[in-house]
Amino acid sequence: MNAKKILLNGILHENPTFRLVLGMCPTLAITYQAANGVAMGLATTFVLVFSNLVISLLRRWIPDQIRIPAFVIVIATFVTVVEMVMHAFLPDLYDTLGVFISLIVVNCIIFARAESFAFKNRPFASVLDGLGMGLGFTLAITLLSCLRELLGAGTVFGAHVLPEGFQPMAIAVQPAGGFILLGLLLAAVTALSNRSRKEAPR
Amino acid sequence: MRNVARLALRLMLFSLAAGLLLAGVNALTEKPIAENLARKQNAGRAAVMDADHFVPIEYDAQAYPNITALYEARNGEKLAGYVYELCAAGYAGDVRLALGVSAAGRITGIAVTAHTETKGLGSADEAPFLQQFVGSPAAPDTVTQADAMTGATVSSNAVKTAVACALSHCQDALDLRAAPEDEAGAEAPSPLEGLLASYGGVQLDLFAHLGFEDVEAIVETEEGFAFAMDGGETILLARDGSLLSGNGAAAQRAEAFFARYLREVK
Repeated sequence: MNAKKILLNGILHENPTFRLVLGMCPTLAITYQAANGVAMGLATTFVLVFSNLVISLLRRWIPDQIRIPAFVIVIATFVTVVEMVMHAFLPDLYDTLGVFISLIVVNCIIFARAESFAFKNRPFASVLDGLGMGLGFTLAITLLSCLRELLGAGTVFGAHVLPEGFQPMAIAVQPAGGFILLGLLLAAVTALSNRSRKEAPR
Repeated sequence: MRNVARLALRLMLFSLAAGLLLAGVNALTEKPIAENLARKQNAGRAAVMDADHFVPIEYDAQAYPNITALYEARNGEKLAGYVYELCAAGYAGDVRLALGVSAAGRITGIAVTAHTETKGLGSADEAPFLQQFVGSPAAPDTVTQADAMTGATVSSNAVKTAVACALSHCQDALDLRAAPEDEAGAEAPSPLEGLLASYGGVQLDLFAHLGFEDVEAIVETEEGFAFAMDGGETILLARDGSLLSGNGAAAQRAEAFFARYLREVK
């Protein structure tokens, strides 16, 4: 088990947003502001790490026939914990993200990693995988949010970056624009990864 | 059958453990959540009326469907006014507002507390739109005369409906009427009212968008334009822009506005 390999897998090789194309619902819905991207990414990372950890620890005691309900119980518990903690201690962020915090439960990334990694691997490796995937997701949606906020409002994390004369593109902060920008980013990432694969034949 | 029982039992154990964990976290976070909610609601009320504390009072929910809550705003024992929490159907869901009405029957403040309309209530004109209610008497006229936001008719109507409901409650249930010579001398007539009283004519409010903050009000008269500047001066310009009355920096600002106005509008 190579710790670095597992971590980097989630960030680069199997990035959940750009390579696995998972978790699209929150990606499109909340990435209109850079701060949202970071917050959602970190919340998802927390859930990923802990649900991977618990599922991996319990993998011998979860019978195969009921593994899906068991995963859902674990994941939903941690999402509820995140929601309650955010509501109590980060109320502004809670108001901004709203219903999408609860929707982390059905974020495909978490379920996919539980099923394909945590259920079959040891706890430490599972934690690393959760961390890697979570960080990959966070970086991806933060990148998208920064772009959308930049084009749609001329700011990044609330700070005016573009000159005063810049006319913001309102569509960039609407879901349609998010879709288009995501598609463009996907195309760019795929092109880069194809080129790197061609240059370094394995 | 025994296998199903075994599986069910296993699942029940997981649920029990999950429930216990959640109960624990809930106990830890319950109080901060309640405090945050109370703080948000108080902030919403304080934003529209300056008062020590707010006492909820009864109202006829059937007759006034847009009102979700009604409070007396008190400074100590003295009644400062009333705060309405309102809700109206907007373009994409409910628009929630807070409205403050002073005991003398004038609107002290209005704020949108929650909405799911298009960003910025559909347009960039939310602040000027809401501002036109502040200071107006608590009468139905205030709503009918208010201008809507361009491109946000439904959102504007939601606000207007809610405010109209609150104001009709003011008049009928609370019997609050703003006397014409309101608060005897404590409040001077607004610059606009002063201009209209002296020169007649029609109010021009384009200036708000042209960046001239020191111009309080402009009235278009038969002879030209009358400006009320924020230093208290009154400047009169003829239709061709020449200065009829007034001098100094205030007159220069009025003339500069006129040059800009010609460029922007005519």
